[in-house]
Amino acid sequence: MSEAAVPLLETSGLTKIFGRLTALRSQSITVRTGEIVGVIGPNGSGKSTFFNCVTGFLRPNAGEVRLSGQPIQNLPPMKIARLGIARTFQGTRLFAGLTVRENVRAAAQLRHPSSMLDAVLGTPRLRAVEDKVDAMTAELLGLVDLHRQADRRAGDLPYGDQRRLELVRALATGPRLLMLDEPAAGMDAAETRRLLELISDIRHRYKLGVIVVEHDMDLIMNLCDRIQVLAAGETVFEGTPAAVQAHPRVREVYLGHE
Amino acid sequence: MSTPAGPTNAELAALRRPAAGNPTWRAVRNYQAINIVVLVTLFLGFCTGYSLLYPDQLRFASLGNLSVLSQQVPVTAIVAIGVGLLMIGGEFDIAVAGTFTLVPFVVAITSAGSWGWPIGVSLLAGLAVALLIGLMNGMITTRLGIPSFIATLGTMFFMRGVIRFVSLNPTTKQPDNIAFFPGDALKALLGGQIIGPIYAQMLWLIGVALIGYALLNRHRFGNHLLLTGGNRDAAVAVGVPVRNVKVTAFMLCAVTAGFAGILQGVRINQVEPSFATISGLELKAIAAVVVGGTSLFGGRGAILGIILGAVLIETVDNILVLISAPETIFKGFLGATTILAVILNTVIGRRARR
Repeated sequence: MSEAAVPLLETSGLTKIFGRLTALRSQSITVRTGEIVGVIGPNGSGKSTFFNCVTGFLRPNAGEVRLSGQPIQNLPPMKIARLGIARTFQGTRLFAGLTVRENVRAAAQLRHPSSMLDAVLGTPRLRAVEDKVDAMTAELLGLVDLHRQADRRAGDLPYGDQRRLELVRALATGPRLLMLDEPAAGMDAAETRRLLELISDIRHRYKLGVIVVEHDMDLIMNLCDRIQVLAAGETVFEGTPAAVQAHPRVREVYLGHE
Repeated sequence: MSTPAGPTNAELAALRRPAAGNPTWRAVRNYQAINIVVLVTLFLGFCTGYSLLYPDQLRFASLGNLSVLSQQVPVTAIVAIGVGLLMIGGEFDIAVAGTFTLVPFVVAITSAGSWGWPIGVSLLAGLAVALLIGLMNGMITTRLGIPSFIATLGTMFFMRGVIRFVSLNPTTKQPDNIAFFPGDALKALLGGQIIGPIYAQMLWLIGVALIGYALLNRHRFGNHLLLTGGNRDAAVAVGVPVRNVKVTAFMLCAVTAGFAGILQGVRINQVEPSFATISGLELKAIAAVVVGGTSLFGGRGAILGIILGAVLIETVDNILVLISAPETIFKGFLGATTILAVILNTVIGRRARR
C-alpha cells in the first residue's frame, strides 16, 4: 500500500546549469517498482545530465530527487549507490584488468562485508559469506550467458558482452532502481532482442524500477511502460509508447531524425 | 530466432568454484610478480656466484656487505610498500623523502635536550605527524581535485622548508644533522643484530609486508583500493567510498615512510636534513614499485613484487658502490629501469593477453 503511495523514484524541479547553458530545466520523473521508463531525446537534450543528477555524479542546481520518499539530491554518488540506485555508463566503465567473474564478485561483495578477523583466519562465517557471493555471481553470469567467459579479462570481451557484464555488475550491488545509459549501443539486432528480454525479466525477478536512456527506438518502444521525451533540457511529451509514436511534435523533435 | 540456452546445472556448479586446474600452479602462473621473482633470483645468483669466484673483484657475498644490505633493503622496501599501495589506488606520493626525514626529526628533537619527552610519547608524536602529512596529501588531492603528483610536490617542498628552518645552524648557514640516541632498548628493537648478517630491520619488513598483504589481498580495504585504482567511476557506481579509500592510502603511505625514516635514524644515530632533498628516495620507491609489476595507472599490484623490486634496486645500488662506479650512474639507472618496467608492464602485458 505504502509502495503505491510513495513512488520508488520521484524527481521534481530538477535543474542543472553549466555556465550559460541550462542543460536540464525543472525536470520531473516518477518511477514505480516493476516499471520501465524510457528517456529519449536528441543528442544534447539533457538525458545524460539527468542521469548524472539522479545518481549524484553531478549535483543539481535546484530541485529534488527522492528515493522511496527520502531526499538524496545532496548525497555523494557512492552513498546513492549504496541506497539502491545502480547505473551503467555510456561507453562502459569496467574494471578492465579484472576477470569477468571478479567484476561481478567485487560488486556483490560490497553487500556482504566481512571483518578483518574473519578475513585473516578464514572462519566458517567467511566461508558462508563467500559462498553466498559466489552463488550470486554464478546466477548473474548465467543470466547473461557469460558463465563460459568467467575467467576472461573483462577488457578482452567483445563490446556487446562488456555491456551485458556492466549490467549484471550493476545488479550485483542489489539495487532497487536500475538506470541504464544506452545499454544497446554497439549491439546487433539479435543481441538487442535478448537484452530486451533480459531487462523485462529482471525487473520482476529482482523487483526493480528501471530507467533506460536509449537511441534504439525498437528497444524503447517494445520495452518501456512509459516514455519521457526530452528536448533542450525539458520534457516535451510523456506517455505510452503508442502515444509517443503518434504524437506529431515528438515525431518532429526526435523521430524525424531517424 | 531461438532463445540461447542458459547455463546447465553443471556449468553453474562449476562457476561457484574457482577456475579449473591445479590451484597452486594457477596461482603461480597468475601471480603478477612472477617475472620479478625470476629476475631477482637470477640477478642475486649471478652476483653471489661471481663474488664467490672472484672475491677480490666483487665483495658482494661478504658478511660485512650482506649486513649492510639487510639493514638497507628493508628501509627502502617499507617505503615502497606504502608508495605501492597508494599507486594501486591510482595516486602518487613524491613527498616520501620529506616524511621519511621529518618524522624521525620530530622524534629525535622531542625526546632529547630541553624537550626530554619519554621516547614512547615522542614516537606517538612522530606517528601523529605522519598521519597528518598523509591526511593533508589526501585531502588536497581528493577534496580540491589537485593531481596527487602536484599536491605532494607541494607538500614535499613545504616539508623541506620546515626541516631546513628547524635545523639551520645560524653560524654556518647550513642545516645541522640532529643526533638521535633513543636508548639501547629501542636501538636493539629497531636495529639489533639477530644472527649473522640478519638484522632486526628484516623482521620489521616481514611484519609490514604481512600487514600489507592482509590489507591488500584479504581485507575489504584492498578490494576497494584495487577497484578505485582500476576504474574510479565504476568503483563509485558500485558504492566504493573512493575519497576515503584514497585518503587512507595516503596516510598509510606516510606512516610507512615515517617508520622507515625512524629505522634509518636509529641505525645511523642521527637524522640528516639533507636526506629530504638529495636522496631521491621517492624515485627509488616508485622504481621498486613499478619494477615489481604494479601498474603505474593503478588497479593492479602485489606486495611481494614491490619488495623484490626494492631488493633489486638496492642490490644494484650496492653493486655500483662496490665497483666504485660514479654515484650519478645510479640515478640514471633508476630512471631507465622505471621507464623500461612501465613499458614491460603495459606493452608486453597487453600483447601477452591477446
